[in-house]
Formats: sequence, C-alpha cells, structure tokens
Amino acid sequence: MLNVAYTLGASRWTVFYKVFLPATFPEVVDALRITMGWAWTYLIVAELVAAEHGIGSFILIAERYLRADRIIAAIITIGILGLITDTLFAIAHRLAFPYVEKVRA
Amino acid sequence: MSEIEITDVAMRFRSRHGEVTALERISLTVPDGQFACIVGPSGCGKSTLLMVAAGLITPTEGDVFVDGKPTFEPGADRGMVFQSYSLYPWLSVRRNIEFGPEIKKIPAADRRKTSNELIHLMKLDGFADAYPKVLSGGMKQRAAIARALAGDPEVLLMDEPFGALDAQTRQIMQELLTDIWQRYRKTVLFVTHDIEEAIFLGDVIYVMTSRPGRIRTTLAVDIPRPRTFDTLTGPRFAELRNQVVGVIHEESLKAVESELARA
Repeated sequence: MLNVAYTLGASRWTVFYKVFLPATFPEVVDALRITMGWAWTYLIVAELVAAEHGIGSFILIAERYLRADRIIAAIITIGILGLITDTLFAIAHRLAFPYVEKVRA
Repeated sequence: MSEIEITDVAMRFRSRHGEVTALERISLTVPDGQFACIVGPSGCGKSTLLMVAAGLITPTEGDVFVDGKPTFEPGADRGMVFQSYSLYPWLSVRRNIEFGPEIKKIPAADRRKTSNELIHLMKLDGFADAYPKVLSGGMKQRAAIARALAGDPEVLLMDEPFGALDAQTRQIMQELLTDIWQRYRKTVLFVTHDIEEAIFLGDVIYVMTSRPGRIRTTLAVDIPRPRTFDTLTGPRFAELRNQVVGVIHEESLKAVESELARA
C-alpha cells in the first residue's frame, strides 16, 4: 500500500498521513478495546488494595462480614460492566470503520 | 514521448549463503507507446526488475531513464499496478482513483471528470461510492488500473496484475487492457509468468533466464491489432507460444537442476 502511494507521486510525509495513519487506525482502536479489559482488571485490583469506595472495596468489606451473596453480586456487576464497555467499543468500531473487511477463517 | 530505458541493471543481495545475484546486466528500452512484456520462470527476478524500474528499490549497478532523464526515486511518471489488490480499504472506489490527482493538487472538478471517465471505461459504473471490500477480484484490479491511469503516468508498470484472478476473468481483463492501451497508448512494461498473456498483450516479449536473471531472448509479436479472442486460436499465436514455452522450459529445468546441485 505504501509503495502504491510512492508510485502515485506521494512524498514521505503524504504517505504517512494519507496512507499510514488511516491504514493503522482501525487496529489501534482494536488494541484500545483489548487494553480496556486490562485497565478494568487493574482498577478492581487497585480498589481491593487501597480504596474506600468502589466495587473492589465493596468486596473487601463484604468479605469482612462473610457476605458471600454480596461478593457474588459484585463479581456479576464487574462482568456486566466489562461486557457493556466491550460491546460499546465493538459498535463504535463498526460505525467508525465500516470499510474494514471481516476475516472469517 | 515517454520512453523508459533500463541500462546495465544488476541486483545483488547478500544472504547467509553468500552473495545472490538476482539480476545481471539487464538492458532494455521500451519506446513510446510500446507494450513490452517480460516473461520468465518463477524466481527469475522479473518482479525485482520492475521494482527497480519503478524506483522502489535501488539497483546495485545500472540506471533507469525516463525520457532520457535518470531517475532514482519513485514518482508519478511511472504508475504501477501490483499483483495483490492494493486499493485503500478506507477510501471509496472513486476516492481511490482520485488519490493520485489529489496528491498532485488537481482541482476537484477535474479530478471528478477523470474518475468518472475511468470508472466508466473500467466498467465500474454503479460502484463509484462502494468500498473495495464489496468488489470482486476482477473489479478490484480494474479499479487499481484506473487509479494508476488517473495519475496520468508516462509509463505504466504492471507486476502480474492478473495473476490472482481466475482464468475466465483474466481473459476478460486482458481484452479490456488491450482496449484501454489502444485508447491511451501508454508505454507499458508488463511482467507475467503467463506466456499466452504476454503474447496476447505484448508488442515485444523479453524472455528472462532464471538466477541470475538475464534477458535470454527478445521476441517481436507480429500479430496485428486489434487482437481479440480469435487471436488466441490463430496459427501465429501457437507458433510464438511454442517458441517461448521451449525457452522457458529449458530455463526452468536449469533452475531446478542448479537448486538440486546446491542441495
């Protein structure tokens, strides 16, 4: 793809912003979507360790009182919130990059 | 006048097993408006030669001249069509075709005129605003040819543009390409491993040898134009084909033998 641009008379800078950036952008957003999962995990871990509010500390407090029901509710909440952000990312990706070919193997 | 001249081009690569000579002292001139084909066994360096002509790789030795001027870099004077579909997936067919003119800062109205004309010529009507992902292989390649032509290059370099297409589509594409060529009369350097394709399309055929790549034979194709489907069944076509097949077969055998000797 880069070579085509050069044979059409593009300079290096033109190739960078007219070909390189648009060509890589969908994958960058894809990577962000995956990283979102890690970010979410670390957020909960951080709350477990040192926070006064949030799901993590909620679990910690529930543990102290042996409230397994509350812990399970918290786990399900974490799952649902994760699923929602992931789905939002997927929808945004589809709307922003309708041209991306889906590879089915 | 738009002529491309390749003089004494040599290409050597360093590899683990020592130096590999991909091309050795290749010289050829494609005069204005000529359709030249390069055929050769796989791995003979024909694609490398085309990349050199495009300025995408620098040869170890030798020069490339366009209209007598030496060139060292790729430029809009040499448009190229690649084997793999190289359309930009994020641009519509029209924007893909207008990519070259857009870089040249040609006004939108003129760009539009060019792209309209090419879309019609390349039988892409109705797909101007479609993304490449919905196109068939043949359509993608027609769009890629249209994009190369839109930049109005002096020379058109084609690297097995129909290599990935099925036989029927390829035949149609060859006929379309001869029509287009007769209309624009561009200087064309066309690389293929398909001998019949080379005879059908070319004015001249350069047969290359395998490693090190050299030009073994030059054949003038004296079949009158316009060439049509009937050309393929003519006696002269068969004669030329047998001639080229003979040379290539000999070369392919040599290539296999030398690989066996090395192993």
